[in-house]
Amino acid sequence: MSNDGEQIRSHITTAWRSVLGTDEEFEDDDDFFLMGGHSLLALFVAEHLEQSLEREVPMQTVLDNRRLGELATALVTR
Amino acid sequence: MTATVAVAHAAPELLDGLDLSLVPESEHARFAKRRREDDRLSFLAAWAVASRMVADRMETDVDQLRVVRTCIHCSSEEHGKPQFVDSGLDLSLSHTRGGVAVALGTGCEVGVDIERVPAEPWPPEMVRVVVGDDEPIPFPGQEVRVWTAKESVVKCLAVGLMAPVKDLAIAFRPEGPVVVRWDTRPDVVDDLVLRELDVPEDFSATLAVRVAGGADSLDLDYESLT
Repeated sequence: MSNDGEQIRSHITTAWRSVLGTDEEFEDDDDFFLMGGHSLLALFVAEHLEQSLEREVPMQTVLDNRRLGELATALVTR
Repeated sequence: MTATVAVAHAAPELLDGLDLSLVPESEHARFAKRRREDDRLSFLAAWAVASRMVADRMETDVDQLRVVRTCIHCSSEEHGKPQFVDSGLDLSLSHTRGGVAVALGTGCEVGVDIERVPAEPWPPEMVRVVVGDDEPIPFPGQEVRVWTAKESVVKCLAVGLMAPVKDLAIAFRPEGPVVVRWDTRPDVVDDLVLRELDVPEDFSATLAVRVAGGADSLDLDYESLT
């Protein structure tokens, strides 16, 4: 993954840890909704990422890309 | 037409003897993929409650029940609103850490959502995402009640969160929450009935019912399992 990708992945990890209330490590294949996430928390993730990336992150992008790696790729290519 | 809705909520730890035999086989894989223990328990509890309720109404055993999903947007059978085959019931279930809610509708569509009330009020930026300027909140610090109302509506119509949350506006009146505007589906606003469920104070739960004729056509059968 590119430097941009690694940086975004780090931001996503931070957002997931914050909303899921955990400090565990996540793999690219981890699915947010199987880690205890749900739609309200997905909304929180989108908002968290908007703040940290300083750009718009649509809720739909978070919902459509449930896995860490997918979401990182989606945000890199946006 | 009279619609009947049965609603149950339960704290998972109060349900003894939970095991996968109480969950339709089609949901076992979803259970197995869940990593967090509290999430697995609430998932199990929600499906156990739903299966017991449906099996009772169909006068059959839980192991005879089959669940299907079909997404209304892409026709995928991997996701979408789950339904018990041949039950004639519209199903909605929700679970969060420590609580579950299940709704079954006869002659109507149902959506239910249960969440924990956060210990701290939402930060202003989150409130702005969920709550519109035309939605005065009579209970500061409990914005999660707005969310459960909106999520119950979205689940009722199985539309998912395809549109901004603020496209849907809720007003909290003395008789309870009502949908006052839904830009995504203005055609159904008059047929939507909302009820806040009687759950412990650290939870918020809302039931949405879409029934022709609105509240006058609704017969609510409420069951608390706690």
